[in-house]
Amino acid sequence: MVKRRVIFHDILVFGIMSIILLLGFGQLIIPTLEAAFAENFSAEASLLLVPYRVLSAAFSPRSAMILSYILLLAYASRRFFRSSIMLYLSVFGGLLLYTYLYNIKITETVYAYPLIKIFAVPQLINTMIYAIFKAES
Amino acid sequence: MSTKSNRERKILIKLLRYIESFDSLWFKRSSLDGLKVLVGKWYVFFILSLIISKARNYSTYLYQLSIYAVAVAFILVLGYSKRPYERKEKRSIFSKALDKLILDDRGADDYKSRKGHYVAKRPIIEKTRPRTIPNITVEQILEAMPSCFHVKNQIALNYKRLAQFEYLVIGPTGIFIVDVDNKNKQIIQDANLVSSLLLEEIYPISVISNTEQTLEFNRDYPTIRPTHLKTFMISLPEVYSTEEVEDLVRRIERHMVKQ
Repeated sequence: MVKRRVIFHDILVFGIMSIILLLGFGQLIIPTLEAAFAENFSAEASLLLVPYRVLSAAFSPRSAMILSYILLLAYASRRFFRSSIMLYLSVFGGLLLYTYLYNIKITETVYAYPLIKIFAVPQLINTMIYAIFKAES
Repeated sequence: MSTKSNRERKILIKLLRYIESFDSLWFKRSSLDGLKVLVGKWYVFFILSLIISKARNYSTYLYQLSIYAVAVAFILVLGYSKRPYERKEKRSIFSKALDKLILDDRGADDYKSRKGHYVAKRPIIEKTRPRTIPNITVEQILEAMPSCFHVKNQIALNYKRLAQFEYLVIGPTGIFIVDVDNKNKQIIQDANLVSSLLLEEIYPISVISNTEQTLEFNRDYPTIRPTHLKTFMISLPEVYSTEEVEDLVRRIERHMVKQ
Protein backbone atom coordinates (compact mmCIF):
# COMPACT_ATOMS: atom_id res chain seq x y z
CA MET A 1 0.00 0.00 0.00
CA VAL A 2 1.36 3.40 -0.97
CA LYS A 3 1.48 5.97 1.80
CA ARG A 4 -0.59 8.81 0.37
CA ARG A 5 0.71 11.50 2.67
CA VAL A 6 3.77 13.73 2.73
CA ILE A 7 6.78 11.97 4.23
CA PHE A 8 10.30 13.19 4.98
CA HIS A 9 11.77 12.09 1.64
CA ASP A 10 9.03 13.96 -0.23
CA ILE A 11 10.02 17.17 1.49
CA LEU A 12 13.66 16.43 0.64
CA VAL A 13 12.87 16.02 -3.07
CA PHE A 14 10.64 19.11 -3.17
CA GLY A 15 13.40 21.05 -1.47
CA ILE A 16 15.97 19.96 -4.05
CA MET A 17 13.48 20.83 -6.82
CA SER A 18 12.90 24.29 -5.43
CA ILE A 19 16.66 24.87 -5.08
CA ILE A 20 17.18 23.91 -8.73
CA LEU A 21 14.36 26.26 -9.74
CA LEU A 22 15.84 29.07 -7.65
CA LEU A 23 19.22 28.60 -9.33
CA GLY A 24 17.61 28.46 -12.77
CA PHE A 25 15.67 31.66 -12.22
CA GLY A 26 18.72 33.30 -10.66
CA GLN A 27 19.46 35.03 -13.96
CA LEU A 28 16.17 36.87 -13.54
CA ILE A 29 16.21 37.21 -9.77
CA ILE A 30 19.72 38.70 -9.30
CA PRO A 31 19.25 41.79 -11.56
CA THR A 32 15.89 42.56 -9.95
CA LEU A 33 17.42 42.22 -6.49
CA GLU A 34 20.23 44.56 -7.41
CA ALA A 35 17.87 47.06 -8.95
CA ALA A 36 15.60 47.05 -5.94
CA PHE A 37 18.35 47.47 -3.34
CA ALA A 38 20.76 49.52 -5.46
CA GLU A 39 21.30 52.20 -2.81
CA ASN A 40 21.82 49.80 0.06
CA PHE A 41 24.13 47.43 -1.81
CA SER A 42 27.78 48.09 -1.00
CA ALA A 43 30.56 46.42 -2.95
CA GLU A 44 31.24 44.04 -0.05
CA ALA A 45 27.61 43.10 0.35
CA SER A 46 27.30 42.23 -3.32
CA LEU A 47 30.05 39.64 -2.77
CA LEU A 48 27.46 37.57 -0.90
CA LEU A 49 25.61 37.04 -4.17
CA VAL A 50 28.68 35.68 -5.97
CA PRO A 51 28.17 31.94 -5.22
CA TYR A 52 24.53 32.26 -6.22
CA ARG A 53 25.54 34.01 -9.42
CA VAL A 54 28.14 31.36 -10.24
CA LEU A 55 25.75 28.46 -9.63
CA SER A 56 22.89 30.05 -11.54
CA ALA A 57 25.15 30.61 -14.54
CA ALA A 58 25.06 26.83 -15.09
CA PHE A 59 21.27 26.80 -15.40
CA SER A 60 18.78 28.54 -17.57
CA PRO A 61 15.18 28.84 -16.29
CA ARG A 62 13.95 26.33 -18.84
CA SER A 63 16.66 23.74 -18.11
CA ALA A 64 16.01 24.09 -14.37
CA MET A 65 12.33 23.36 -14.91
CA ILE A 66 13.12 20.34 -17.08
CA LEU A 67 15.67 18.93 -14.64
CA SER A 68 13.43 19.35 -11.62
CA TYR A 69 10.54 17.77 -13.50
CA ILE A 70 12.67 14.76 -14.45
CA LEU A 71 13.71 14.48 -10.81
CA LEU A 72 10.07 14.55 -9.71
CA LEU A 73 9.10 11.94 -12.31
CA ALA A 74 11.94 9.65 -11.22
CA TYR A 75 10.97 9.98 -7.56
CA ALA A 76 7.25 9.55 -8.22
CA SER A 77 7.83 6.45 -10.34
CA ARG A 78 9.63 4.86 -7.41
CA ARG A 79 7.34 6.08 -4.65
CA PHE A 80 3.83 6.16 -6.11
CA PHE A 81 3.86 4.01 -9.22
CA ARG A 82 6.51 1.50 -8.14
CA SER A 83 7.74 0.70 -11.60
CA SER A 84 11.40 0.65 -12.57
CA ILE A 85 10.39 0.79 -16.25
CA MET A 86 8.77 4.17 -15.69
CA LEU A 87 11.83 5.37 -13.79
CA TYR A 88 14.24 4.51 -16.62
CA LEU A 89 11.88 5.79 -19.28
CA SER A 90 11.30 9.07 -17.48
CA VAL A 91 14.96 9.75 -16.68
CA PHE A 92 16.73 8.65 -19.86
CA GLY A 93 13.81 9.26 -22.18
CA GLY A 94 13.28 12.69 -20.70
CA LEU A 95 16.93 13.63 -21.00
CA LEU A 96 17.07 12.35 -24.58
CA LEU A 97 13.88 14.15 -25.58
CA TYR A 98 14.74 17.50 -24.06
CA THR A 99 18.33 17.54 -25.31
CA TYR A 100 16.97 16.71 -28.78
CA LEU A 101 14.55 19.63 -28.54
CA TYR A 102 16.96 22.11 -26.93
CA ASN A 103 20.43 21.09 -27.95
CA ILE A 104 22.73 23.05 -25.65
CA LYS A 105 26.29 23.83 -26.62
CA ILE A 106 28.50 22.65 -23.76
CA THR A 107 31.91 23.41 -25.22
CA GLU A 108 32.90 24.65 -28.66
CA THR A 109 32.78 21.18 -30.16
CA VAL A 110 30.58 19.18 -27.73
CA TYR A 111 26.78 19.39 -27.79
CA ALA A 112 24.44 17.98 -25.17
CA TYR A 113 22.39 15.66 -27.38
CA PRO A 114 25.19 13.38 -28.66
CA LEU A 115 26.65 13.29 -25.15
CA ILE A 116 23.35 12.15 -23.62
CA LYS A 117 22.82 9.63 -26.45
CA ILE A 118 25.95 7.71 -25.43
CA PHE A 119 24.51 6.47 -22.14
CA ALA A 120 20.76 7.05 -22.55
CA VAL A 121 20.18 4.90 -25.64
CA PRO A 122 21.73 1.67 -24.24
CA GLN A 123 19.77 2.13 -21.03
CA LEU A 124 16.53 2.56 -22.97
CA ILE A 125 17.28 -0.59 -24.99
CA ASN A 126 17.90 -2.40 -21.71
CA THR A 127 14.56 -1.29 -20.28
CA MET A 128 12.81 -2.30 -23.47
CA ILE A 129 14.24 -5.82 -23.24
CA TYR A 130 13.36 -5.95 -19.55
CA ALA A 131 9.77 -4.88 -20.25
CA ILE A 132 9.36 -7.48 -22.99
CA PHE A 133 10.68 -10.33 -20.84
CA LYS A 134 8.67 -9.18 -17.84
CA ALA A 135 5.48 -9.17 -19.87
CA GLU A 136 6.20 -12.71 -21.08
CA SER A 137 6.89 -14.09 -17.63
CA MET B 1 -38.37 12.64 3.94
CA SER B 2 -41.68 12.38 5.70
CA THR B 3 -43.31 14.78 3.25
CA LYS B 4 -42.77 12.38 0.37
CA SER B 5 -45.47 9.94 -0.40
CA ASN B 6 -44.97 6.20 -0.06
CA ARG B 7 -44.99 5.59 -3.78
CA GLU B 8 -42.39 8.24 -4.44
CA ARG B 9 -40.15 6.76 -1.82
CA LYS B 10 -40.44 3.28 -3.28
CA ILE B 11 -39.45 4.56 -6.71
CA LEU B 12 -36.52 6.47 -5.19
CA ILE B 13 -35.35 3.37 -3.33
CA LYS B 14 -35.49 1.32 -6.53
CA LEU B 15 -33.49 3.93 -8.41
CA LEU B 16 -30.87 4.21 -5.70
CA ARG B 17 -30.61 0.42 -5.50
CA TYR B 18 -29.89 0.37 -9.21
CA ILE B 19 -27.19 3.03 -8.87
CA GLU B 20 -25.74 1.24 -5.85
CA SER B 21 -25.20 -1.87 -7.97
CA PHE B 22 -22.47 0.06 -9.79
CA ASP B 23 -20.60 0.60 -6.51
CA SER B 24 -18.70 -2.66 -6.83
CA LEU B 25 -17.52 -1.57 -10.27
CA TRP B 26 -16.36 1.80 -8.96
CA PHE B 27 -14.43 0.43 -6.00
CA LYS B 28 -12.86 -2.39 -8.00
CA ARG B 29 -9.18 -2.05 -8.82
CA SER B 30 -8.65 -1.26 -12.47
CA SER B 31 -6.23 0.40 -14.87
CA LEU B 32 -8.53 3.42 -15.12
CA ASP B 33 -8.04 4.38 -11.46
CA GLY B 34 -5.61 7.16 -12.32
CA LEU B 35 -8.10 8.64 -14.76
CA LYS B 36 -10.84 8.52 -12.12
CA VAL B 37 -8.57 10.40 -9.72
CA LEU B 38 -7.74 13.04 -12.30
CA VAL B 39 -11.40 13.52 -13.14
CA GLY B 40 -12.17 13.83 -9.45
CA LYS B 41 -9.67 16.68 -9.11
CA TRP B 42 -10.78 18.50 -12.26
CA TYR B 43 -10.93 21.84 -10.46
CA VAL B 44 -7.14 21.90 -9.91
CA PHE B 45 -6.49 21.71 -13.65
CA PHE B 46 -9.31 24.15 -14.41
CA ILE B 47 -7.69 26.79 -12.19
CA LEU B 48 -4.23 26.09 -13.62
CA SER B 49 -5.49 26.35 -17.19
CA LEU B 50 -6.99 29.74 -16.34
CA ILE B 51 -3.59 30.80 -14.99
CA ILE B 52 -1.88 29.62 -18.21
CA SER B 53 -4.23 31.65 -20.36
CA LYS B 54 -3.53 34.75 -18.25
CA ALA B 55 0.24 34.18 -18.06
CA ARG B 56 0.66 34.00 -21.82
CA ASN B 57 0.13 37.76 -22.07
CA TYR B 58 2.71 38.68 -19.41
CA SER B 59 6.00 36.94 -20.22
CA THR B 60 7.37 33.76 -21.77
CA TYR B 61 9.00 32.62 -18.55
CA LEU B 62 5.75 32.92 -16.60
CA TYR B 63 3.97 30.98 -19.31
CA GLN B 64 6.56 28.19 -19.19
CA LEU B 65 6.42 28.16 -15.40
CA SER B 66 2.65 27.75 -15.41
CA ILE B 67 2.91 24.82 -17.83
CA TYR B 68 5.52 23.34 -15.53
CA ALA B 69 3.09 23.80 -12.61
CA VAL B 70 0.43 21.83 -14.50
CA ALA B 71 2.88 18.99 -15.14
CA VAL B 72 3.89 18.90 -11.47
CA ALA B 73 0.25 19.05 -10.35
CA PHE B 74 -0.51 16.11 -12.66
CA ILE B 75 2.12 13.96 -10.91
CA LEU B 76 1.22 15.10 -7.40
CA VAL B 77 -2.52 14.59 -7.87
CA LEU B 78 -1.88 11.11 -9.22
CA GLY B 79 0.45 10.36 -6.35
CA TYR B 80 -1.25 11.79 -3.32
CA SER B 81 -4.98 11.37 -3.90
CA LYS B 82 -6.44 8.12 -2.65
CA ARG B 83 -7.70 5.56 -5.09
CA PRO B 84 -11.33 4.42 -4.74
CA TYR B 85 -10.23 0.95 -3.64
CA GLU B 86 -8.04 2.43 -0.92
CA ARG B 87 -10.88 4.18 0.84
CA LYS B 88 -11.88 2.99 4.25
CA GLU B 89 -15.57 3.18 3.61
CA LYS B 90 -16.14 1.60 0.24
CA ARG B 91 -19.60 3.05 -0.27
CA SER B 92 -20.80 5.80 -2.53
CA ILE B 93 -23.03 8.70 -1.53
CA PHE B 94 -25.93 6.94 -3.22
CA SER B 95 -25.84 3.97 -0.88
CA LYS B 96 -25.59 6.33 2.10
CA ALA B 97 -28.68 8.16 0.87
CA LEU B 98 -30.40 4.82 0.43
CA ASP B 99 -29.59 3.84 4.01
CA LYS B 100 -30.98 7.10 5.29
CA LEU B 101 -34.12 6.68 3.26
CA ILE B 102 -34.75 3.14 4.45
CA LEU B 103 -33.78 3.73 8.08
CA ASP B 104 -36.15 6.70 8.25
CA ASP B 105 -39.01 4.56 7.12
CA ARG B 106 -39.20 1.92 9.83
CA GLY B 107 -42.17 0.25 8.29
CA ALA B 108 -40.39 -0.61 5.08
CA ASP B 109 -40.00 -4.29 4.28
CA ASP B 110 -36.32 -4.27 3.49
CA TYR B 111 -35.36 -2.52 6.71
CA LYS B 112 -34.88 -5.79 8.57
CA SER B 113 -32.51 -7.31 6.07
CA ARG B 114 -30.59 -4.07 5.86
CA LYS B 115 -30.29 -3.80 9.63
CA GLY B 116 -29.17 -7.41 9.98
CA HIS B 117 -26.47 -6.77 7.42
CA TYR B 118 -25.12 -3.95 9.54
CA VAL B 119 -25.22 -5.70 12.87
CA ALA B 120 -23.38 -8.71 11.53
CA LYS B 121 -20.64 -6.60 10.04
CA ARG B 122 -19.78 -4.48 13.02
CA PRO B 123 -19.25 -6.21 16.35
CA ILE B 124 -19.81 -3.95 19.31
CA ILE B 125 -16.52 -3.37 21.07
CA GLU B 126 -16.57 -1.47 24.31
CA LYS B 127 -13.91 1.15 24.25
CA THR B 128 -12.14 1.18 27.58
CA ARG B 129 -10.11 4.12 28.67
CA PRO B 130 -7.20 3.59 31.05
CA ARG B 131 -8.41 5.10 34.30
CA THR B 132 -6.18 7.43 36.18
CA ILE B 133 -5.99 6.42 39.80
CA PRO B 134 -5.63 9.40 42.13
CA ASN B 135 -2.42 9.38 44.10
CA ILE B 136 -3.83 9.06 47.62
CA THR B 137 -2.13 7.09 50.39
CA VAL B 138 -3.94 4.77 52.77
CA GLU B 139 -2.99 7.01 55.67
CA GLN B 140 -4.81 9.98 54.13
CA ILE B 141 -7.94 7.91 53.56
CA LEU B 142 -7.99 6.52 57.07
CA GLU B 143 -7.56 10.02 58.49
CA ALA B 144 -10.66 11.07 56.58
CA MET B 145 -12.79 8.29 58.09
CA PRO B 146 -15.82 9.27 60.20
CA SER B 147 -15.19 9.89 63.90
CA CYS B 148 -17.00 6.71 64.94
CA PHE B 149 -14.20 4.69 63.34
CA HIS B 150 -11.14 4.20 65.56
CA VAL B 151 -7.92 3.83 63.57
CA LYS B 152 -4.82 2.35 65.18
CA ASN B 153 -1.57 2.81 63.28
CA GLN B 154 1.57 0.70 63.71
CA ILE B 155 0.58 -1.27 66.76
CA ALA B 156 1.81 -4.50 68.33
CA LEU B 157 -0.40 -6.89 70.29
CA ASN B 158 0.93 -9.24 72.92
CA TYR B 159 -1.67 -11.94 73.13
CA LYS B 160 -0.50 -15.55 72.83
CA ARG B 161 2.27 -14.22 70.63
CA LEU B 162 3.59 -10.88 69.45
CA ALA B 163 1.64 -9.65 66.41
CA GLN B 164 2.28 -6.42 64.55
CA PHE B 165 -0.30 -4.54 62.50
CA GLU B 166 0.08 -1.67 60.13
CA TYR B 167 -3.51 -0.50 60.50
CA LEU B 168 -6.31 -1.73 62.71
CA VAL B 169 -9.71 -0.10 62.21
CA ILE B 170 -12.59 -0.58 64.61
CA GLY B 171 -15.93 0.89 63.67
CA PRO B 172 -19.68 0.23 63.87
CA THR B 173 -19.53 -1.80 60.63
CA GLY B 174 -16.84 -4.21 61.87
CA ILE B 175 -13.19 -4.70 62.74
CA PHE B 176 -10.67 -4.48 59.89
CA ILE B 177 -7.01 -5.35 59.57
CA VAL B 178 -5.63 -3.30 56.67
CA ASP B 179 -2.44 -4.50 55.02
CA VAL B 180 -0.71 -2.25 52.47
CA ASP B 181 1.14 -3.72 49.45
CA ASN B 182 1.39 -7.30 50.81
CA LYS B 183 3.80 -6.39 53.60
CA ASN B 184 2.14 -8.68 56.11
CA LYS B 185 2.43 -12.24 54.87
CA GLN B 186 0.37 -13.82 57.68
CA ILE B 187 -2.62 -11.53 57.58
CA ILE B 188 -5.16 -14.38 58.04
CA GLN B 189 -3.38 -15.76 61.09
CA ASP B 190 -3.33 -12.27 62.59
CA ALA B 191 -7.04 -11.92 61.93
CA ASN B 192 -7.68 -15.24 63.68
CA LEU B 193 -5.58 -14.06 66.63
CA VAL B 194 -7.59 -10.85 67.02
CA SER B 195 -10.87 -12.69 66.60
CA SER B 196 -9.86 -15.14 69.37
CA LEU B 197 -9.10 -12.14 71.56
CA LEU B 198 -12.30 -10.20 70.93
CA LEU B 199 -14.53 -13.16 70.01
CA GLU B 200 -15.79 -11.18 66.99
CA GLU B 201 -15.52 -11.52 63.23
CA ILE B 202 -12.48 -9.74 61.70
CA TYR B 203 -12.15 -8.54 58.09
CA PRO B 204 -8.61 -8.71 56.71
CA ILE B 205 -8.20 -6.32 53.75
CA SER B 206 -5.23 -6.12 51.41
CA VAL B 207 -4.79 -2.67 49.84
CA ILE B 208 -2.52 -2.28 46.83
CA SER B 209 -1.51 1.36 46.43
CA ASN B 210 1.09 0.71 43.71
CA THR B 211 -0.73 1.51 40.47
CA GLU B 212 1.59 -0.59 38.32
CA GLN B 213 0.80 -3.71 40.31
CA THR B 214 -2.30 -5.56 39.16
CA LEU B 215 -4.97 -6.69 41.56
CA GLU B 216 -4.94 -10.44 42.10
CA PHE B 217 -8.07 -12.22 43.13
CA ASN B 218 -7.83 -13.78 46.56
CA ARG B 219 -10.39 -16.20 47.93
CA ASP B 220 -9.82 -15.41 51.61
CA TYR B 221 -9.80 -11.61 51.74
CA PRO B 222 -10.52 -8.72 49.38
CA THR B 223 -7.70 -7.00 47.52
CA ILE B 224 -8.69 -3.43 46.64
CA ARG B 225 -7.32 -0.05 45.66
CA PRO B 226 -6.92 2.66 48.31
CA THR B 227 -9.71 4.71 46.73
CA HIS B 228 -12.21 1.92 47.44
CA LEU B 229 -11.12 1.36 51.03
CA LYS B 230 -13.39 3.91 52.65
CA THR B 231 -16.51 2.91 50.73
CA PHE B 232 -15.78 -0.75 51.43
CA MET B 233 -15.63 -0.22 55.19
CA ILE B 234 -18.59 2.17 55.41
CA SER B 235 -20.94 0.27 53.12
CA LEU B 236 -21.05 -2.86 55.30
CA PRO B 237 -24.09 -3.22 57.62
CA GLU B 238 -23.77 -1.78 61.11
CA VAL B 239 -23.10 -4.41 63.76
CA TYR B 240 -21.89 -2.54 66.82
CA SER B 241 -23.26 0.42 68.70
CA THR B 242 -20.93 3.26 69.73
CA GLU B 243 -20.62 1.88 73.29
CA GLU B 244 -19.69 -1.56 71.95
CA VAL B 245 -17.05 0.00 69.71
CA GLU B 246 -15.50 1.84 72.64
CA ASP B 247 -15.51 -1.39 74.65
CA LEU B 248 -13.71 -3.23 71.82
CA VAL B 249 -11.10 -0.47 71.61
CA ARG B 250 -10.53 -0.69 75.36
CA ARG B 251 -10.04 -4.46 75.17
CA ILE B 252 -7.53 -4.05 72.35
CA GLU B 253 -5.60 -1.34 74.17
CA ARG B 254 -5.29 -3.64 77.20
CA HIS B 255 -3.08 -5.99 75.17
CA MET B 256 -1.16 -3.35 73.21
CA VAL B 257 2.60 -3.19 73.64
CA LYS B 258 3.92 0.30 74.31
CA GLN B 259 6.50 1.22 71.68
